[in-house]
Amino acid sequence: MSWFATDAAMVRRLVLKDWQVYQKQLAGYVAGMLLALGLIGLGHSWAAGAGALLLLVLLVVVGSYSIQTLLLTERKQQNVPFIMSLPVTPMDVYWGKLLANLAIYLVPFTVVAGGMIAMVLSTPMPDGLVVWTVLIAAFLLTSFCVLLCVAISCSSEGWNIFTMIALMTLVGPFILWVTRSRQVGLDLEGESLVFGPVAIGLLAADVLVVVIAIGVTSWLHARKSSFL
Amino acid sequence: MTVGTRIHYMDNLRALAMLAGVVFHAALAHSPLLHSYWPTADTGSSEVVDVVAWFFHLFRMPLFFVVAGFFAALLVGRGGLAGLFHNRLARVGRPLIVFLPLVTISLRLLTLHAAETAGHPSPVLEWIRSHVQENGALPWSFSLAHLWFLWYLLLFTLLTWVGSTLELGRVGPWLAARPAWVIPLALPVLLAPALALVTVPWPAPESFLPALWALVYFGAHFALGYQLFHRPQWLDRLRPGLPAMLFGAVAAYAGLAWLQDAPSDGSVALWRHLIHAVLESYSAFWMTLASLLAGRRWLDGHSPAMRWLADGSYWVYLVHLPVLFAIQYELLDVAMVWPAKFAVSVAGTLAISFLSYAWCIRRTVFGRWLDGRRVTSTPITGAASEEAAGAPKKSHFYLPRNLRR
Repeated sequence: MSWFATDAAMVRRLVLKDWQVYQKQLAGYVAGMLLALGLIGLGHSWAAGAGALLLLVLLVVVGSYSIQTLLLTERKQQNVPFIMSLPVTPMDVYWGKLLANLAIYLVPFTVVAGGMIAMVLSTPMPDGLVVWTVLIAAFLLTSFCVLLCVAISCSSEGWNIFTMIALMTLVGPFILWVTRSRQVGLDLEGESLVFGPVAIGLLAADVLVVVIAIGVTSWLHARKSSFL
Repeated sequence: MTVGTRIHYMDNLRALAMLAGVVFHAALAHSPLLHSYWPTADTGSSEVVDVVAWFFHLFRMPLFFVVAGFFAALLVGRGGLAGLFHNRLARVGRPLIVFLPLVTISLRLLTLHAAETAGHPSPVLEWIRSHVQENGALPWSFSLAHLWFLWYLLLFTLLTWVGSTLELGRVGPWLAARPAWVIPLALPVLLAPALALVTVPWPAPESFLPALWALVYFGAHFALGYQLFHRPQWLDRLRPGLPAMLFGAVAAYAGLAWLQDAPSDGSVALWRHLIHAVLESYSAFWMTLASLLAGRRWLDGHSPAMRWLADGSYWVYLVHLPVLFAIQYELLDVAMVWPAKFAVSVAGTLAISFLSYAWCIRRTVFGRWLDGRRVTSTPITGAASEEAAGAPKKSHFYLPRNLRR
């Protein structure tokens, strides 16, 4: 049982293939995200609200759509028999899919998270909001990783939709909790940029969840001796 | 179009646009319009400065972004989008990361020192002095300062990929097929709403957060430059209209200055602001086109002096503001007429910046960062490019410095 791909060059080719398949949509999303950041920067409250909502929606949609397009639709289109005819192992394909989806998601994620942090630091907004932004961004990234791992492991549209809805349902309450909870204790109006013990704990928990999700998915795939 | 030769007029226009920035920033110390906002604002000022400096400011950055778009297309032609990203990260992203903290920290230290010691402080320095006295310290504010253009170059590199992936380049041939006067007449009107989002004259978009107006306004100029690389003949078709564009640009600017002086209120002010934006847009765009035409006519030859200026202008622009501020803060307490102070500050800044380039940068690793790997005057002859075949007046062709990796 090997956890690793047998052919790194082949994995790279598979990642590039997925990138090329998806890059048109991704380009549209990136343009939309720059528009949203521009709206936020206009300085009007209505534009900032519209921009922030657009960013959140795009970030959620870009992840869900890439998983749908690159994993589930391909399976629906009976791509597996074709892949079986190629000189690749199940672990090559697994790492190819995992890395391709992560790469595709990380491009818009970096634009959004970087843009939000830049906004806080370069405007009169209190710098304490950076911690809040990092926690929300980390939660969204963790949600995507979990959703991706579930989709790869189950290859089921039903489970994918269920997980997606469950995770999306958690986003709102998490934002509210982080914003209002005294336990978290964020100083949203303060000028100091301090990651307290709870904030660091939440970030550590995010990392742990991502590691566990990828670890379990890798273990499940490593047990497979064939594609079927 | 040319992929293997140095395109002199674009290189030279870029250098002149950057050096014009040094003169512009020096002039702001004597601008009545910015007297309350500019840290080095001097007691000596003149409305002549506002009229002349802001006129050049209108088109120096649009021109710069046209040139940047032109070279982006050249890089894509040479090494594809991957080559463009590699080049921009190395020659734009890396200098931004390295120089932004240095520039920010030095400007802050210079300003705090001047606020503490100046006998005739500017309104900004007076405010800082009283703020520090009341609160003990001046809060940090993150800003791109004058390096904002590097950030936007990176954003436009990203948007080049977006445009290429979404096949937006197909608009180029369609536009090129229209009569030559369509773009000079229509584009300024289309860009005016973006300018109407901000004050007249437009402010520097110094925030890390992309400014929508700057993305649209400078992005359109970048796209124009990109298309210009593929369709250089479009510029030639505009040549007969050069006198009209020059006259129109000056007339639009005069109208802008006249309207700005007139009092207004309420809804009249809103309409007036829109008209300001339209006039500003026309004046800037026509002067940008006129500069391109003039550059193609008079700056498209190899000159060792211009080559040296072009090489050094990037470094000079990166470092000029702290040098300029240091000189102008010292001049605040010197009894001199403002033209003399202006001349001293410009000459001093250029001298220090160019000498530091010659002695400390040009032949070091920093020089390679900024100028690219230097190939010593090895001419490319013959069929290396279309321009080589079509431009007999040139005796030497060089690998474009910004293409070498």
